Amino acid sequence: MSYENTLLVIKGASRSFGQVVAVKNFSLQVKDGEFVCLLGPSGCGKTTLLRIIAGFETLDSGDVLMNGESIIDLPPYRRTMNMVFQSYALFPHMSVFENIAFSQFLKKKPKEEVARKVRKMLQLVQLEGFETRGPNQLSGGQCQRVALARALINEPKVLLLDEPLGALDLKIRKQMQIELKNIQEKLRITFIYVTHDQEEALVMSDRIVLMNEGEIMQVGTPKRIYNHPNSKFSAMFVGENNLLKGTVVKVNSDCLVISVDGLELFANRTINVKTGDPVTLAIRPEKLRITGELEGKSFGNQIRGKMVDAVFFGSVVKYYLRISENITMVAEDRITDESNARSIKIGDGVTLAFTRESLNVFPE
Amino acid sequence: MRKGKIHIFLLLPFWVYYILFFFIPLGILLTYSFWLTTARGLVPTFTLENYWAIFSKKLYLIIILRSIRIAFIAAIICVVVSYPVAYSLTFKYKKMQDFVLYLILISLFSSYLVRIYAWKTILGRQGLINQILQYIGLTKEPLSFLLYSPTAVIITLVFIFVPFTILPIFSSLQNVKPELIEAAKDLGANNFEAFYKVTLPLSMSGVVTGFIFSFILSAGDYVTPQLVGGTTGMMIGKIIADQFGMRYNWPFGSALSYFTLFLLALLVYCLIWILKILKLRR
Amino acid sequence: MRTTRGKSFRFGVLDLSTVLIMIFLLLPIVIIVLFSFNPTSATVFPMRGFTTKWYREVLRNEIFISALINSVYVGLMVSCVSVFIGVLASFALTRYRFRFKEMMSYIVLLPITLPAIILGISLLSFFASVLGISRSLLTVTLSHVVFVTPFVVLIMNARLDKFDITIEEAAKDLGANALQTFRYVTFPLIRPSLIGTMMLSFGLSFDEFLVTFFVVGRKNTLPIVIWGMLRRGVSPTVNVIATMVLAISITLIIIANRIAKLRTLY
Ligand SMILES: Nc1ncnc2c1ncn2[C@@H]1O[C@H](COP(=O)(O)OP(=O)(O)OP(=O)(O)O)[C@@H](O)[C@H]1O
Ligand SMILES: [Mg+2]
Repeated sequence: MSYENTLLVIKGASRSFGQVVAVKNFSLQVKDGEFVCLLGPSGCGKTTLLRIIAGFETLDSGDVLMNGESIIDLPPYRRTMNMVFQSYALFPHMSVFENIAFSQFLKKKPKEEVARKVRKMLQLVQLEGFETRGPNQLSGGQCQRVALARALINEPKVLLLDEPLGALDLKIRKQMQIELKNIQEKLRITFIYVTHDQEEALVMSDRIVLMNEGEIMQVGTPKRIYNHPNSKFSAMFVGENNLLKGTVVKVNSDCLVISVDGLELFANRTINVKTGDPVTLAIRPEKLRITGELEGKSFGNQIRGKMVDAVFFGSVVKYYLRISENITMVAEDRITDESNARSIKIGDGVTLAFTRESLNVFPE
Repeated sequence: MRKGKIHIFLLLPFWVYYILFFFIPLGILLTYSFWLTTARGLVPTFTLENYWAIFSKKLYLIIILRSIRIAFIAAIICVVVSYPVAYSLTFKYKKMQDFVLYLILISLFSSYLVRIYAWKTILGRQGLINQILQYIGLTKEPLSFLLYSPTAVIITLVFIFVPFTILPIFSSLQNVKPELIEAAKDLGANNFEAFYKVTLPLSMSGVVTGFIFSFILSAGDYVTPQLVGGTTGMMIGKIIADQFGMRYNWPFGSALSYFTLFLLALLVYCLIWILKILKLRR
Repeated sequence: MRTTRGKSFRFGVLDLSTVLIMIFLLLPIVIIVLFSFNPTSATVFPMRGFTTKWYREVLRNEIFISALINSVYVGLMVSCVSVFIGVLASFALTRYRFRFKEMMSYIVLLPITLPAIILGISLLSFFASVLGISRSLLTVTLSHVVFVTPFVVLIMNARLDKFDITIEEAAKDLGANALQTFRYVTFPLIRPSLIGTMMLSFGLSFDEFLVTFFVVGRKNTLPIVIWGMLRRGVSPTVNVIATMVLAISITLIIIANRIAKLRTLY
């Protein structure tokens, strides 16, 4: 990351509430125009961190810098960022127009200019004609758009969004994800976006910050996080993974040999381990290839298994395969066309094949 | 929730006012109860004589106990009759809720004194009730015990103070979501069990508040007994008031007040204590 | 099968008791209003006709007029002072954390758990012997504030507990300082409750007799005048006064409801 276009820096931020440590030694640099997702399970401190950045929560220790200057002593209304609240927090006694115009009204901007800007914002969020409605006359999705317009009209450098789509149903959520992304790309505003929906994070962000119990677990592009989780937590939280416990039996120059319940598996040597170390392996269901009989060596790993169940999910089918006494793995197969649907039946013996790269290894 | 020192400034006017016009006056009243009234006026001393004087005449004790009994019965009736109203307002007459609450407010806002007086005319020998009873042939002679009796006091107190029990019970019933009752029934409770195990416990705080309100208000009322109580319906408030009026024996009046207050507080405390135990056993 | 929703309507014990209680609650008021038009002075059924002569008599009565003015004056003063004290206290109790907060919320309610007569005589002792203040409308006002403030706190607590703080945070986030946040967001949102508490304070003070009786001076309030009338013997003018008071308070409630629903900003 180049230093010049770093906009926001969080340095060792910590915050506890009594015994609960909500945010723990959190450090992050955010580039200008970047779309960063804070992803983590409920209660991991995402909201608290966002409120620290916005200025609603004090820090126990650490610092927040904007353009190289500390802003922790600035009250919220002096910070050049705006927030979209999880509950929308629209002013119930004001119309849509008044809600959006609020910040301009406070800045005592001339009326015509305000009206023009509000119109532009309404256009941006596709709510033209809703000016005179009250917040209680809007649907959840429309409230969300008003909240967005209200924050954007202020032309903030950073927009903070706290699970903005959390209360919407799946279909509108998907649609809003795309719209939000488009708006962000159009306006080139830095977005810090809180969500506990991993799929949302993968779809929208330039960079994901994976959090757990107030700490950063992993930072990286969606691709990186998806393909190379660095811990059991990452592997479990983002996407679906088969997790296997094993022991290192051999360390070669470029690859590891790991024994899992008697089976020998090969993985790339991405971490430093010794022979005898316990490790966890993760592999995505879609990386598993099911073949009828043993194929050539091209996959690196091949295991025999027995199919115990198959579940139809529309575009994909999930096969549950027993590979040993205690281990059942899930393989996913995309159905591209009815005719290529597999003819494996429950109880059939199959071979599972996967590459060395697709197997992620973490120390136990 | 914020921390800081701002709350001190917010509470400052309140404290200044309450210390000056509530706690100090109560302290002064307490001081008076240890003074003496003589022919030459008030003598500042420290004596328990005024408190012993309460026990010197049977009359005082009889009236104090009667006041507490009347207030207690009135408060019980208040709660018992308020509950159905609050309950049906909450769960049955949703559409009429505002209107009925409005009527209750109006009754609260209409003159307290004149309402007592109206009850006097309703209960009197030629009052509405006696006339109706005679008209439908239930009684030949007008019932005389309706007015100037403890019964009259209780009836009047109940209808003067019942808004003070309906409103707290109503607001506590707002916590009882219909889904909760449905869940209880779904789990096999019958109507009574659902009420006893779910609705009642959840609205208990309102019942207690309403009870305490109507109990204290009734015990301290000195107008109702005067207007509708006659001699058998006389209550302690009138006697205390007289000590500060015609009798001009402030120390004795203060002692009476504190003694009565002590009994009332004891009773309320016991009641809350009993409720707590009942809840633990449930 | 047991159905809990959509049960067909049955007129049961519950409804009967509700209706009866409402009737008994409103009966005295109906009687008061009806008999204010009764030509003879005895309150005996049935009514003997219809007249407005008592109304004319009341409106000519100077004692009544001045008592009315006094009561309105006291009521206004009381509602201003107690709403000021009570609302500030309520903000402290709902928005801030501090030690003894729980205890504080009980202390606030003490005056309304004290029998009115005891409050009355203690204030009388205080004014008469310690301050040496002669009794007047001022002592009445000071006394009323003591028992009106707890009601203000109760109502405002209920409102502020429900208040969504994030709305204020949103305002601050959009550039409003503390004062602007209060002026444009908090105040408009609590205004209905403020008006409600002012009305209630006024009403409680306007109708108060039990405490007032001890602390009132030469200038009388309306309940004191009514009390005098009741003691001297029955006259329909009492009913007339009560009816007029009722009419005024209903009007005030309606007006307050209207004011409460005003709009803001542009
Ligand atoms: N004001 C507060 N007082 C006490 N504890 C708090 C406070 N705010 C947050 N916490 C605690 O801090 C932890 C982190 O809370 P936070 O709201 O930041 O979680 P979150 O990641 O936003 O969760 P969610 O996804 O459920 O919104 C939680 O354990 C929470 O209970
Ligand atoms: Mg959150």
